Amino acid sequence: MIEVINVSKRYSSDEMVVKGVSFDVKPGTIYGLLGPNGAGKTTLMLMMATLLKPTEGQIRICGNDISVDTLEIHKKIGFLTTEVKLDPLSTPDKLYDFFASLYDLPKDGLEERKINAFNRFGITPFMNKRIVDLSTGMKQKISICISLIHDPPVIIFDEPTNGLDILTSKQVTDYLKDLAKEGRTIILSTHIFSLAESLCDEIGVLVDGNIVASGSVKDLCSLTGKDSFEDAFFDLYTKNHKEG
Amino acid sequence: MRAFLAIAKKAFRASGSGGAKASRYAFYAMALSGLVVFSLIAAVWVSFVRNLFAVPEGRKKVVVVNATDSFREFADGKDDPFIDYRFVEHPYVYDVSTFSDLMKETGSHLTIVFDQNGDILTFYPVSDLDYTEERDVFKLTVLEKYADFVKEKEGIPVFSEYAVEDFTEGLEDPVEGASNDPFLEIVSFSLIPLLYFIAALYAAMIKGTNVIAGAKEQNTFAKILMTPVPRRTIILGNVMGVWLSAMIPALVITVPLILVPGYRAGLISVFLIVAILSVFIAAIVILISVMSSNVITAQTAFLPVFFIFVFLCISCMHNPDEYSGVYEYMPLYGQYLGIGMALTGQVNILALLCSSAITLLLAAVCVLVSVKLLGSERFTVSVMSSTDKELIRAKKQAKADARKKVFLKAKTSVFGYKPKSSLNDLSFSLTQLFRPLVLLSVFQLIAMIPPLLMTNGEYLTNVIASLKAVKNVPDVISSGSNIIGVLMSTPAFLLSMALGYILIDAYYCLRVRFIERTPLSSGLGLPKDHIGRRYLTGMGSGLIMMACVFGILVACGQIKVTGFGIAAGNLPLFFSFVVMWIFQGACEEIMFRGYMMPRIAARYGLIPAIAVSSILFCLFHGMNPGFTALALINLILVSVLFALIAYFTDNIWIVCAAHTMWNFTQGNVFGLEVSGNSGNVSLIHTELTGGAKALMTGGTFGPEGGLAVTIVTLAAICLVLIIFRKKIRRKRD
Repeated sequence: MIEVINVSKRYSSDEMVVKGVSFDVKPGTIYGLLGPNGAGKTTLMLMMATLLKPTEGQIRICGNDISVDTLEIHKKIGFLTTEVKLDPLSTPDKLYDFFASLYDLPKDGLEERKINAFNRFGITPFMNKRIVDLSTGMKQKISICISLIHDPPVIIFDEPTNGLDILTSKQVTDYLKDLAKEGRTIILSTHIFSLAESLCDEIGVLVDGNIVASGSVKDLCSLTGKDSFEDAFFDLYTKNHKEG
Repeated sequence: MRAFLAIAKKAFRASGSGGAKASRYAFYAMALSGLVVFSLIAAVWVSFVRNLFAVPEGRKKVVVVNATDSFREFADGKDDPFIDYRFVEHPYVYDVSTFSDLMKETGSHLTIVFDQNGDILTFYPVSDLDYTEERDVFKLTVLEKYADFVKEKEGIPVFSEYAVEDFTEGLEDPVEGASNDPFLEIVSFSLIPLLYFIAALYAAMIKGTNVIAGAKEQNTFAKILMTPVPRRTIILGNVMGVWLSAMIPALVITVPLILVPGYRAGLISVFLIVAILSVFIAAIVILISVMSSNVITAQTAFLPVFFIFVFLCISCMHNPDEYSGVYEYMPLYGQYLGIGMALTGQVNILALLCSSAITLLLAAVCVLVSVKLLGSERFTVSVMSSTDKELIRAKKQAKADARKKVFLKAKTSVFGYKPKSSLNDLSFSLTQLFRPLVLLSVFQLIAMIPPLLMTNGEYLTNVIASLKAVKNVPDVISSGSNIIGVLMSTPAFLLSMALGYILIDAYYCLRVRFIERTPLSSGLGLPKDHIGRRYLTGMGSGLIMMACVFGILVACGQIKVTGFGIAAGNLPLFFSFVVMWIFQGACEEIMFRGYMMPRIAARYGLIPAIAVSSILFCLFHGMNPGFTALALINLILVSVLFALIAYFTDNIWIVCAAHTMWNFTQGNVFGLEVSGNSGNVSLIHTELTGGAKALMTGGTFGPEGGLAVTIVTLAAICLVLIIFRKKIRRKRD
């Protein structure tokens, strides 16, 4: 479903942020990218979302090359990152309608879908308030709603539970599990072990722009010979991280 | 289409304040003060324009006394729309006071009187001689026509070369043109188009910079880029939204104009013209917005565009007649003039179509470029995470620190200078090169102004005359040397040159002391101790060297002494020279030896420092007249000599004095040319002998272009190397 083939990224004249990363994600699975800050998770996801162009390598989503069929890709992915925000002066209601017209969604039943989506996350009471007046958690939930407005088969979420309280966090993770059960492919990045452990079918550990190991939690533990996933990660990190 | 409309609607509704809501009262206060200022300006402007039109009421008035029948017939037959004849009968032909009263009463400047023989006398208000010209023109044109008229009546063929129109030149034909009110006409060619332009520009700027650049600033733009909407739809939608918001103020301006009866007919065309103009403006704003990463950058980048537009309006406003014809077919000018012409009912359809087509084409180009740019990562969206940004910033900082470490370690220390600049090599070289160039060119040009003003324009006339004589390249040099020659003989020029040099010296001292925060002793080689002793040493060495040159030239029979002494009248000039040389020498030494040498030496070593400063020093003299290859070598040698002295003695007082003395003795003691510039007063009068060779004497460049100086300087360099041999050895170890 998602094939990342030897992808590298270099920001103008600076050092490589992502260095020759390759992995595959099968349909209906949740793939987690785990790594410390600055490991290149966001950059990798932005490339998958076509917002950045890979310096080298190829990314294919549903068989389409991201740099060729960009608009086709946009229809197939739902993308969320904390770096991309919602227009603070707009309201959830207006934003939903706006993006619905940008995705050219059918007008019949739009209102119903909107209410359903808003109800799931408890946004409905706030749907006519300005985004700027809402809490971080609410903003994140609205972002998720809007990212999935077109019901995409591939979901790319960068740190989806960032800044959320435990309850909301649970809501989101449950929703993601449901989506995966429905046969959607999900990639998410995180640095929260519990989330990675409970949610992901497969985990890629990203250190300094390289995927140093990948597999299920069990695989990673047995690979490093540690009992807990946390220890396995730190083992991988200290082995692969070079200072400065 | 749906996406396009949604984007346009969003752009149209975008908040002008980019999310930062200003207080409502602040907005009211701004609107109110804007209104007050605008009404004040409008009131002043209106009264000013009204006054302009109070004077010539459209027709020239002429009082005609005792007109003959033929003249009456001539005047009636002409049915002249410009000249208003007032016929009067009066018994006396020379009653000037009555005529004067008559002219005052009718507002006329001219009275013509027919005497008994049918001859014509003319009178104009004696108090005002300005009207003689008007009378002469009247005589030449109208009376000439009258003469033709009389001749024609008697059957004599006539060919007159004069036209009555000359007399009535500048008066508008009251029959043609739809607008009878000249005030309305002026307003429609100035105030109204300007208002439309500014309104469209302002509205478009506020919206356009907010929609894309504002979205980028708030990181909301990526969300739109992520949708399956093509980039061109995003751009076009935004242009549409901005265009709509630019049209609102246009509408606001247009509505009150409906009340003016003269304007009603043209308002639809005006609105169309403004619409096309706004499309272009919207496209420009969106282009700038795409290129900027936040609102402030976008608005700053749009400012020049704003000013270009306003400048264009003002130039048209200032003289609409000049900007007619081909300008009507050009973009922007076409719209500006088109608005005026549409309002006054003189639409030139072809010109409008042409200018509109070009404007729309330009708008299309802007849109295309924007779409292309939006495809590039650099201009799309800055979604790099803050941690990534921090990492990159840290790396850049580390690089800069490493560079600083390298640059701040002096390679060779001259005057004990410790480098403080961590500029990269290119910027460093450019500043070293351009600082003297800019300073000298600015201050020397300024120095030319006072003498030109003080001599009542006499020198200015000379300068212009010699500039006019320029026909080919060698002429440029000779006319330049003429100008300098003329100027060099005025104390005013020399003193203002000296002032210029003082200012440059002061600039360097203040810069080193307060900006570079380095003591003058190490920063410029100007230590505070032993100034007198050092300066006198320098003066002595300069004098000795020049005396040697003079001695060689006399001994070889190249020049001969023709007299001694200075005329009393030339004493001010002589002392002006002294002052000028003191600061000129100091200034050049500070620039090249004091400032440039330690800085280049610290970065690249001593030899590059001496080489570069010498070559630059010499190039700055290369523009002087009579410059030759030998002169180049000599100047480099002198420069190297001075550099060595400065380096070994760790100060530039000596070379300042030597430089001053060298020039002074050369020009004002031995009467020779100094680097191609002749001084006009000297203690010893010399001239070239018949057998003088340019190789030795340097010809028009003076001895610095000849072998004598080469010999003396080489000898001096050897002498310096011998005197300081111990120091050389020590420095090498």
